[in-house]
Amino acid sequence: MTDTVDTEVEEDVVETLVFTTKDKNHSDDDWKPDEFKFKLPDDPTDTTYVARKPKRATFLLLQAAFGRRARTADLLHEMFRFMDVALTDESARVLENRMDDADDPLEAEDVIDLMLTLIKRWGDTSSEPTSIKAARDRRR
Amino acid sequence: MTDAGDAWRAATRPVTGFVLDGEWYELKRRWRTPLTYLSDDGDEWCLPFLLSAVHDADADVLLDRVLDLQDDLDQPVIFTACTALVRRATGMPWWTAARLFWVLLGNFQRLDAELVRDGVDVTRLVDRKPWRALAITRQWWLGASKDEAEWRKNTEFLDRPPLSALQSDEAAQRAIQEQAMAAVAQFRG
Repeated sequence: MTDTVDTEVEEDVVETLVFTTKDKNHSDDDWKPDEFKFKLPDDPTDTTYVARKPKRATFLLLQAAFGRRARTADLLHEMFRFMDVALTDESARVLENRMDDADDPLEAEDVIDLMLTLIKRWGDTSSEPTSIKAARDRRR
Repeated sequence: MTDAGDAWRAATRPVTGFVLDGEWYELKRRWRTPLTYLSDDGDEWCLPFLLSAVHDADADVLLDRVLDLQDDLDQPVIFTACTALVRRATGMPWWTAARLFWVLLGNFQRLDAELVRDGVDVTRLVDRKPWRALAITRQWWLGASKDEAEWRKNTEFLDRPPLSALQSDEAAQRAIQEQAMAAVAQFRG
């Protein structure tokens, strides 16, 4: 800090990168997740499962796993994490127990089918505006 | 397209991290990995870019926030953060940085051979001083243009902003679906 003139100029020009999520449109009170209730065929537990629409970033995370030449293990991990996020804790636990149960007809394949159903359901319309457009508007 | 102020800022005060909702996230000083994810269109590159740019512990925090439905951290903020980060790290817009990095990768052998004679390690330069690595690439590539017309064509290729703003969200979502179907089909053999 010997050269005060230089320091002053730099402080003026350089700003730290600061970002916030607080300027989102919805407040915590009126926000409702987009829920989807469903039953599975031949379900011994007869559970009504509840899934909530994940955020767009979560879909993109899944997409990144599909896009790159991921190892099968990574891809599976990403798929099941997606299901974990989409399903409520209770539904996820029931599904997990059913998969662990050897007598239960539910297989990993069925869970993947279920995941595809969820992607199809929520893939059509997005509640988010295009993020690029949103960012551009914010800069104005 | 490149703003002289951005380039100066990138060079004089290298970005070491950023603040998100009051929390400091520290960047790895290893830009080669995030730069590999960079794309000149769309916003799908943002999340892998960001997760590979910050330290592992910070990446875990970010990932948890992304997966948390109650958390407001989503694509718009991530996109804003990533574009700002690229601008601060390289001194140029993200699409220009992406294309220049492609040029660098595509000509890596020749660039590396030329620069190593001057004692410059390109891989290390990319990691530590991405603005300089890309500026050298730009200079070298445009300088290799045969004539004025090619020079203008190459400059336009580097600087033209992407069309992704025109792309609708539905189209992007459909692309995700199709990719998911194809990946699962492949997975099942």
